[in-house]
Amino acid sequence: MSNPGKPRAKDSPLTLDAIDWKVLHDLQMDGSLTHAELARRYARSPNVMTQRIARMEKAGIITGYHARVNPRALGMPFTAIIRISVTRDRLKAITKTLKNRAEISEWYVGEGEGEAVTLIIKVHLTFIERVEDIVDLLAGYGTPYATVVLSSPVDGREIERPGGRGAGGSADI
Amino acid sequence: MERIDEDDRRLLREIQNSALISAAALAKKLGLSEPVVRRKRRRLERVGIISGYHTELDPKKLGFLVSAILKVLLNGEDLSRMRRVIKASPEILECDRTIGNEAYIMKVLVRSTEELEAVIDRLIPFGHVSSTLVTSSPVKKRQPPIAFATEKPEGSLSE
Repeated sequence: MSNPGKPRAKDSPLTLDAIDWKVLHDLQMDGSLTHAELARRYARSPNVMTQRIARMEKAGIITGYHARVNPRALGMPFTAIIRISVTRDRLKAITKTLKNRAEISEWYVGEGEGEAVTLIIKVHLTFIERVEDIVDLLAGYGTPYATVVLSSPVDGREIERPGGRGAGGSADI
Repeated sequence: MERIDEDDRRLLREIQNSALISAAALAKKLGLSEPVVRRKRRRLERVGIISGYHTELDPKKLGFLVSAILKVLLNGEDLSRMRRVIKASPEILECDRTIGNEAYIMKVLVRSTEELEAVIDRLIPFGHVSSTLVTSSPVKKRQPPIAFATEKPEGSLSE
């Protein structure tokens, strides 16, 4: 396949048709689907299907294929969300401090008041007490707030075609 | 909990990064034989440590330009009704119910601020909604920490 790891910014925008969106949906649900199986599902030849997917990889729409790992099966049943408000100039130092912390799975910088930004991170833990490790690291930069996740009614939903899966016509992107 | 060894952990890290790597390439990278790599991978799938495979997309390339984190502090409204609304909202990619203050924290992906407003409006009946626009994600979303999987409760973490 082409190199999906390096999306190129200068690519001209692609127009995705209904089949493309269906393929994107299927691949998000199951990244191990073969091109042959997708070709069969949408009554296309395997070559045509491979071309469609290669086109989306090249355009940087598809950026990678990953194994999904279940943190529970690995003995990490706890999830926590930590939030801290910091001044923008400290962000670099915090990033450096936390970058290699393996328990962090998600990390967002949001807009805050004035010079402040809000940092929100999600961590997976073997024990709830472990949340202190991250909180302690952040304490030097401001006041971190931590909360433990009880349940996740929605977890990793796929990106859907705007206007719903059933929408007809082509979507300009 | 299933036991995994250091080779399993290295294997998991590799296929988290790229699921399409061949058994041959994986064997070479890990310094193991191909049959061992195949057997290990099958076992990790069978016991549910590998729960599946997914394809990662670039939302911006698909026209989803706005990402936000929403927090809803419940006002005692019907919980099951709100959960139905959340589940029926394709813009909400993640939703966690957290301890304290009965808060729901959600990650939302939309094409415009107008669409974000529509999601917020849908949630307002259930409580106080606060939102933060995500301006960047310094660390790309990654999978759970394999390195920590065999950790003991006592003992300190190395930096």
